[in-house]
Amino acid sequence: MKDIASYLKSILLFKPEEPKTPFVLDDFGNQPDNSDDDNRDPSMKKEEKEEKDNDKEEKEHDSRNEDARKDDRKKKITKPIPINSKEKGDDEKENDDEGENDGKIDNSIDTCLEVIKKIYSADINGDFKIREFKVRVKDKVYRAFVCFFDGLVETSIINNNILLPLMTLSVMPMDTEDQPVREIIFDHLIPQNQIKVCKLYQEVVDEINFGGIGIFIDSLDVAFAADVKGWEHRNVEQPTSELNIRGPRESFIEISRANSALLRKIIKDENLIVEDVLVGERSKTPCSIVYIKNIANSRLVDEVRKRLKSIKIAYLRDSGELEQFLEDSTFLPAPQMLLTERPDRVAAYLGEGRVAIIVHGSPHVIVVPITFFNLIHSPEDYYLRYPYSTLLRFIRILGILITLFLPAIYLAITNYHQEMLPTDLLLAIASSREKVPFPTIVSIIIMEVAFELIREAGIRIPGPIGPTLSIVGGLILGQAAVSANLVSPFLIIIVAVTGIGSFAVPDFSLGYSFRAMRFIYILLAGFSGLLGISLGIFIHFLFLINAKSFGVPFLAPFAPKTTGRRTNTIFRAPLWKEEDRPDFINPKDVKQQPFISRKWVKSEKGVRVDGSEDNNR
Amino acid sequence: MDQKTTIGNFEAACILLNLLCTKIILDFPRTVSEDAGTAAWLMILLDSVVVYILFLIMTRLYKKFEGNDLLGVSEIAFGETGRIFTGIVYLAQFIFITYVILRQFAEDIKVISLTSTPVSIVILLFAIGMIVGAYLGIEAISRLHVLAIPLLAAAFLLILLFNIPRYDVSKLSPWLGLGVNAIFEKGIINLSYFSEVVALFFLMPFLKKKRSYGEVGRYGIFFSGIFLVLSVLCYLMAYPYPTSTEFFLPVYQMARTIKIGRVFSRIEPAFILIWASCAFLYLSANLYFITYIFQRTFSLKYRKPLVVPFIILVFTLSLLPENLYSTLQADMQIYRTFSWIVTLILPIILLSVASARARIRKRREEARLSHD
Repeated sequence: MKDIASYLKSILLFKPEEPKTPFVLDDFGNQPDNSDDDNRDPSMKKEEKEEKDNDKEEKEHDSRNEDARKDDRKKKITKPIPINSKEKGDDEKENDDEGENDGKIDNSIDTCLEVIKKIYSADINGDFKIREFKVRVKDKVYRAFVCFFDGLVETSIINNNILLPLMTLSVMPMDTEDQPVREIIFDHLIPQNQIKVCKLYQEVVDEINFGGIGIFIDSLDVAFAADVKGWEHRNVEQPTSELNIRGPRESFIEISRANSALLRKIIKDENLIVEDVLVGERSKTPCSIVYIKNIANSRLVDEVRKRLKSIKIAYLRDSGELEQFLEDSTFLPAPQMLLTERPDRVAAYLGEGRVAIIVHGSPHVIVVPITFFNLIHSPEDYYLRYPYSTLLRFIRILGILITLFLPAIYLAITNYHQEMLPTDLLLAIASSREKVPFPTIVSIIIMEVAFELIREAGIRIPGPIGPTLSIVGGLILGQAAVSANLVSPFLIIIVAVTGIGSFAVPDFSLGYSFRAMRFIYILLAGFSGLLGISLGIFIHFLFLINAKSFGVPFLAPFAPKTTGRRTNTIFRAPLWKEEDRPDFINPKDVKQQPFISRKWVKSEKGVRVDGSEDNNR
Repeated sequence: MDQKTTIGNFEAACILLNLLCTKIILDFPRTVSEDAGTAAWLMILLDSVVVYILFLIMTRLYKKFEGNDLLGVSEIAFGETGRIFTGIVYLAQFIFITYVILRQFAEDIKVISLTSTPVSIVILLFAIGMIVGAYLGIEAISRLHVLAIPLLAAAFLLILLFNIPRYDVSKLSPWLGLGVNAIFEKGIINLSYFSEVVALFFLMPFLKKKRSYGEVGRYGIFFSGIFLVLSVLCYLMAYPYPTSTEFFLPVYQMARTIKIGRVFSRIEPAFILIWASCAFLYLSANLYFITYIFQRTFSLKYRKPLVVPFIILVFTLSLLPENLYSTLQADMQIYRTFSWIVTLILPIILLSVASARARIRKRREEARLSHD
């Protein structure tokens, strides 16, 4: 879409688009030099021209002035402030404070204390705590301090596992005569399961920022950072947007490690890899790439890793934001990755060879790559018996078709192709529309917009009032509109069925896409009937077909046609028939289960359990 | 994860099938029945066999030039000048058929449903679809063909099936229609109905399995032959000659007569979806070929910037005929009379000369090597 826009622009303007210098947030090297002749204002150029006529001395004099002016102008030019440059001044100070050793931890406790206080602005930061104390090692007393953010840490762990052993247990007799102080403290005095020895202040700072504690001890040129996270968080609850009757009812929460644990709880496989990547220059949001090592395609994992690591943003708050930075096409009217809050669903996809991305702070996990058909599946499909789930999928597809096309087809038939309707129905519609003063397209748009308003308002207003609004909007407003002859009762039915159909779309994001596309189809149908709808379908499908999710065609395995089975796409096959993983993902191991997965049967699909042909079919 | 443009052989066969069969929903059954009377189906059957044989000859000759398109072959045969000349000839051929078919579709849709809409607006709607299709390229177009062709074929067969009550084999008599002479004389000219076969030779560089290019053409011609013969046969069984020469859209006429109970009595507007889908697929593929041939002929670096200029050209040309009748005249008297020479005979000449020159060159090299 962007390409088309830029192309049209280049055609209409009759000039080639100038290549733009890529702008990198933290790199001024690539920016155009503002002192270039072309960038100067005309008056400056004129001045320069006049200067050329003057004698050499004047030239030199003027050139000096010119240089001075350039410098002034450079100062005046407001360049975008890079992420790291805000602390530039502070950093300089810090560098001065941190000494000449490039941010390395000093062995003087006073210097360390001063640096940490400056980094965290301890005098004004209310939640930053520093506790000074003394440690006795090898009959020698050392000054020490710990620092942490109140509220981010579990204070009982600090008291029992950090301070108590350091302050009191250090006097206990230990066979540590020949060990250096650093090792004694690490090995004996901090009984904490996750501890890191840091040589740089930045390492300690990163840990403290993410719920850790920094431990500084005099005479040591290292600090210890222990994981004592203990912030408030939501418990694992039922999913809110992907409800089901059958199947597990756990959902992800905002803690990334809890989410990875939820996955590990389902997939008890040592090949399940949880690879950490930090995204966001300031937020430093921990993200995890999750995949099963011996199933997921290595190139896919590399691509996910490459994309994640290449993102340069200040803050990352949610997986919804990350999705927008990762997706292949921004303007495609369909999501190109799946965001789910269900661990069982993610586990199933990981088992197929896909890759999941967990974002700390988001209860939705991203799954890539996906196809269009994954978006119309519900996790419950697999927990229900084959005939029921097939029926459910059929109903869901019907819902999607109704959402997209019903109002448009109604409009096309009533405006352009009336002969399609049986006479009685045509008369019924005509009589119901007799007193309505608006054209059908206006009535439809009024009702669809009203419906969207009710839906949006229902989400935004406080809980108890929501249902009231729905009743007021849906029943009273609709009834009043019909009574006032603003719309026909037939149209109310069309809009209501369309609304119900849209609720059957299982993916939240895809639902939005269809809701938006519906309006385009209405306009096209109003403009040229079924031809307009055909045009819409043609372009819509072209874009969907052309789209890719992490290299996988969006409408695979149908377009392009792949060699693998197509059972679990539109309709579901019996689970015992699904031997293969989707081949378009190129998993390392295509076989999911053996040809005969139910070993208790004598024969299946014409083959006996022992591999011989079953002749009694 | 950028990849080179490739299309599967099934996708290519679907493109070929659509290019060859789209004419069914236009005036094809009527025009052939005008030419050969009740034996029109026999004429098309013979044409299919002839084209199949011609294609076998072409594939035999093409074997040495795997991965090359027809312009590449012409360059081997006659050098750069030959490539440019061949390119211009095929460019003219594709532009002509695109604008004629575009106008025909627009006129037909206008007659069927959009009676009060100006024809230029209808053409514009088609043009929008063509732009998007040609812009996104042959990969997207071919994949859409894979999705659409089975559905369109099923819908077409349904139309034929629902007309079974109207079929009467005796309407096909006299079996040789307007006579053996008419069948053979008109049969040669009507080879032009298979002129789109040449498109396959422009798809060759994109094929995934380049070695099995022959299969694509054979399957394409075989199935399109079946559909073309079936359409004429059913039409003639439903409407006897000379009534069969009166309907301007024969298959639409067949769709109009479908009656399944009281509710589904007039479902032909639903077939506008089929009409329009076929048109979008056919026209966007043709526009792609136009831009591709132009790009290859003049060795241009980019193809996409050509889409808008050529759609403007095709759009303008399609507005030149005064009405549907003059469009059909242009189609019948110019295109159908001569295009078989350009699309079926010229490729054989090009391929023969290219293979002869390649052989001579090879012999010279061998002689030089043995001399050295």
